[in-house]
Amino acid sequence: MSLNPLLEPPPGASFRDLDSTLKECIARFSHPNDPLVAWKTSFDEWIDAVKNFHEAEDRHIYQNDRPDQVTWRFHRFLLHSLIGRGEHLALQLLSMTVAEEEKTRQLQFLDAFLTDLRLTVETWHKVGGQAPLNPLAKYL
Amino acid sequence: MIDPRLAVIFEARLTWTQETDKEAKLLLWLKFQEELEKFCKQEGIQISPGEFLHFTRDAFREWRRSQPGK
Repeated sequence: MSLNPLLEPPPGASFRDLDSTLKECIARFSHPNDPLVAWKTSFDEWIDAVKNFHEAEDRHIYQNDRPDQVTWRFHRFLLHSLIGRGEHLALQLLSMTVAEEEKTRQLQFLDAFLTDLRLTVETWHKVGGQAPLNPLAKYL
Repeated sequence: MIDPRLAVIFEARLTWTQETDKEAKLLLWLKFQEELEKFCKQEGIQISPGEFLHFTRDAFREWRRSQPGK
C-alpha cells in the first residue's frame, strides 16, 4: 500500500465499466431506431465525470497552496484521460448516420466541454513552462 | 490589485468551467471569448485564450480563492 492515496489502483474499476456499458446498451435497447440515444447516454456520463473532476480540481489545485508533484501529474493524467474519452465520443458521433444538423449541434456542445479541458492543460501543463516575459504583467 | 477587466474575464472563465448544461456551456464559451476579445481590442494586443489563461493562472487562482462559494 502506498503512502499517497492517489497512487492506489482505482477500486472496482471493472464494475464501473460494466455499469457504463450497461447504461448504453439499455439506451440502445429502449430506442433501437435512434442511434443518438445511446451516444447521448455516454456523453452525459462523461459530463458527470468532467463535473467531478472540476470539483476535485478546485480542492487539489485551486484551494491548495502548493500541490505536490504527484498531484500535478494526477491532474494531468485525468485531463488527458477525459480529453481522450471526449475525442473518442466526437469520433463516434462523426461516424454515425444521423441528420447533419443534429450532428453539428451535438459536436458544438461536446467541443465546449473539450475546449475547457484543453485550455486547462495549456494553463497548467504547457510544455516549456512559463515564458520569462509575461505580456499581461502590467494588468496583474 | 488586478485590472478589473481581467476579473470580468476570470468570472466568464469560471462560470464556463463550472457549467454542466450543454447549451449553457456553449454560450458561456462564446461569452468568455467575447470578453477576452473586448479586452484585447481595447489594449491593442493579440493573445490566444490559452496564452491568456497560462499567463494569468496565478492571479486567477488568487481571484478564485477570494470568491466565496465558487
